[in-house]
Amino acid sequence: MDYHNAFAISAAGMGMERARYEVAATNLARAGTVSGREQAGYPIRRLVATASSLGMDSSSGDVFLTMVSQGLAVPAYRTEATAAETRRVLDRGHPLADTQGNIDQPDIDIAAEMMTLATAVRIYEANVAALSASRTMAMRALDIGSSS
Amino acid sequence: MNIEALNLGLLRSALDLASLRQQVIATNVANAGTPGYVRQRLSFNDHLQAQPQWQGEPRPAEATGQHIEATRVGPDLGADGLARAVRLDEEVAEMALNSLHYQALMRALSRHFSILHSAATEGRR
Repeated sequence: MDYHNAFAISAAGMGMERARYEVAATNLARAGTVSGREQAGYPIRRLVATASSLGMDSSSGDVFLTMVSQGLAVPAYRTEATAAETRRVLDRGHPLADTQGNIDQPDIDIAAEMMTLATAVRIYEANVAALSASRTMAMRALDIGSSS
Repeated sequence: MNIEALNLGLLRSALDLASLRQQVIATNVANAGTPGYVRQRLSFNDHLQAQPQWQGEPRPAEATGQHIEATRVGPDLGADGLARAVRLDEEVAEMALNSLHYQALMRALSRHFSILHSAATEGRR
């Protein structure tokens, strides 16, 4: 049991889901902010995950293990800021309101962000389960030769 | 009867396979949130068929290293030929099964060594 690789796979998955969670949380934290008249709005951030190099062609187990040890089997991700889209809300008393009494708020879909949070937590938990299964197997491997 | 070579060879193959399968499942879970990822699947039917016939004196499994080479890790295509997405519950269930299987193999290996120990000590404890 090569536990370095098995742990690294799950750790990469957990890292990506944590990043997804943080991006969604950042978006939610900025949902209620108001940008001033001359200010640029808050650009909504998105986590873009790209599929790993494991393609549509099958390979032998050895090739797969080599790809795993080179870190090619885990997803890559980056955070991208989308164009700042704002939503105009009528709020006459607001100090940053324009002449018509409108303020600009980032156009954040709160339901979608919450769904992203929930999905990220579930996938994170599945990665924890995978890690703990790998750990159990590695611990068993240490028991070889002990009297049963 | 050459219990030594037979047991060790078979157990080693099976443990290597279980370890490989665990890594395939962990990869599937890690990529579960990636759009466009195709679930990977471990198949080793060809390997089982390539085993020598079990008649008379059983032969030990082929030299280690070949069995991993004989397994295929590839995209999981459903009956309709379309690539399947990752389903977390299936992966976790398969992982539990694989982990249990690995532990059973480990216990068999320990048993094997305790038999050898018994032989080495002429049955004395």
